[in-house]
Amino acid sequence: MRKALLVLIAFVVCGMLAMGQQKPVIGVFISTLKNPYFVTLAEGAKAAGEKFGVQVVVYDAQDDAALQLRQVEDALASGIKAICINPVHAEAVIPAVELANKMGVPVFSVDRDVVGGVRVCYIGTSNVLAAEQGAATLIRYLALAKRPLPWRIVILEGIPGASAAIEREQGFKNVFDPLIKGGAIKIVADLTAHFDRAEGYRVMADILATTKDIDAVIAANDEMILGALEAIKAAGLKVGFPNGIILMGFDAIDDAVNAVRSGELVGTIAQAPFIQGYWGVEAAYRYLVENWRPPAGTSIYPPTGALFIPTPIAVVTAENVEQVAAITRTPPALPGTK
Amino acid sequence: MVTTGELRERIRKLNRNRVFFPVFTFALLFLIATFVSPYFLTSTNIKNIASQLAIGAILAMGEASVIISGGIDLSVGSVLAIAGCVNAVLMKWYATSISLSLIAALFVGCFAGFLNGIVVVKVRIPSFIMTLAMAATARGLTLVITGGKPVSGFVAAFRSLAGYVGPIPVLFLIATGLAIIWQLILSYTRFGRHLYATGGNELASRLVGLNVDRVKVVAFTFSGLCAALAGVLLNARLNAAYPTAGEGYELDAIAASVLGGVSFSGGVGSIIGAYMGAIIMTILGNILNILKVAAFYQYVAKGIILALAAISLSRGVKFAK
Repeated sequence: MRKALLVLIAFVVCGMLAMGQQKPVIGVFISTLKNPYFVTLAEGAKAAGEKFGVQVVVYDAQDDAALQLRQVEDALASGIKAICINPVHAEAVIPAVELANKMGVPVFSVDRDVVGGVRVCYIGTSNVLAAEQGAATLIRYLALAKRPLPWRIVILEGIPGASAAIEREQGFKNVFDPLIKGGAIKIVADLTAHFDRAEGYRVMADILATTKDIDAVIAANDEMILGALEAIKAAGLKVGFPNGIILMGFDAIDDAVNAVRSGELVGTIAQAPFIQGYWGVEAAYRYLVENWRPPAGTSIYPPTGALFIPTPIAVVTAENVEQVAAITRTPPALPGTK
Repeated sequence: MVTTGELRERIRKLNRNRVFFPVFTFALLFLIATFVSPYFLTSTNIKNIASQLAIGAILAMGEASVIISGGIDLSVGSVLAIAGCVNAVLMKWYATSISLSLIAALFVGCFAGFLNGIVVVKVRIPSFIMTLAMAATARGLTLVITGGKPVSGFVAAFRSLAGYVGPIPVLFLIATGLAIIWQLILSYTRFGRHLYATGGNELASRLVGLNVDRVKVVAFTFSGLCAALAGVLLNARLNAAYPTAGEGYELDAIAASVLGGVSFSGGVGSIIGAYMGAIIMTILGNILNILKVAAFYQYVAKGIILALAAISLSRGVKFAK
């Protein structure tokens, strides 16, 4: 019985933690908080919650679409007023969005869009466009370094099937494919490392076991490129522009920005997850309270057909690395507001 | 009148019944949840829980059968994924009928489970290793079959598996029906008694002439079947099959079994217990969500509550392996 009592106490404590405020609640459903990128997104959402006086509750789906559906169901049952969702999968979360639609709760997709159900708008970056910019930057630096042709490039892809991975792969392809045909570059390896740092290390180490003749590595996120960086250093190879292996990341997480500063990465793409989270909650708040709607003339996000509120992107290189924090953490005015 | 001594004796007896604990915990959780959140006992939320618990409960039943037989199955999450994707790919890409693609998926699950069992008993590899190997293989094949992409958008008839009969979710009916049938089989057939005997003392069972190998193969095959069924139902629920589905679900299935009184040492426990264990896990997740407990604290709360439950449960066990 004493143990039963302990269970009871544990619950009451949880209850205490949870209660407290009675402000309108906006649920923010994150695909996984294991990735620092989404932690920053959640920080942005919370910052907006404080600014606008709404309670923001962050749910972590641990990259499990079934769990995310459960979380949305539970949150809707507990009376949340709006949903900002960063879906685990573009398709598998449709039932969750449809449920919210049925209950009249507005849905805003952030960073990744859902491909069904009604969303007020999609707040994020075009992964394809951003990946194209990253690949183009890598090519620019390879040209500046005056490497002999063909440039030998390794690509590290994200989780197979995840929409961000598919779109970034598309962006890389758009830039690389013509160059491959023209014989200017050669893809040494094009492998997945599941958006994961340890995987990035392992996969890169495996590639290095087959060849050390590599000019550049580009990864679909920073975790993988940082893992690859360690593997390259462990193999005793030189990294950095202009004489070492040139590394290009994606996402501009803090570790990667530091690596750009120290010259180990030539660049990374800053997607401003903080602004995505901030705008997500701001849009939800303004939608509920001020009757905000995406302004006339808002473009459509072609892959999903949603109204698209693009958040800023920046290519982070040694030239602008000091300004990046300010750029990506200062939300500009949400389109349609003053 | 009942004296205190008698009362204590009665509680002790009740405690010895291993289904008592999960039922008690369930009742306690239910009460606390009703008390701490006004949203818990709403019809929407109860319906949510009823459909949420099915996948975990079905996996837990298969897992419990294997654990009772003295083994462990680490492949259920991956078998869920491969069966689910086979089901989806057949329906979407090859326009196979619902029933045929369902049978194919269940067959894939049974085959994976059968392979687990046959290798364990014939080649005598520990089930831990064999099912881990199966998990990796099945996950890989799932990615191969789907090309790494999710398959989505099924016909309404298939999605009705995730619908309702009156107010009751079909998922709940399937899981509960399966639990009752399999429990009856284990309780009242010769096979059931052999399963417990095998897990309880394999050597003795062999010596008295039981076909221990066959019993184990059936247990693994059933676990594969359960995983496949869960995969199909997950498809209906999400209206999509994706190759990373079910990652880590084996651990939830094992936890549910153990919470429900299935002993790691084999030969002890029940299907209804595992089913209750899965319900407890589902309600736990549900409460933390409707209480809006912040993501990071959810892990902590879940861990502590699981440990507390396990501690309470450990009283009936003479020793732990």
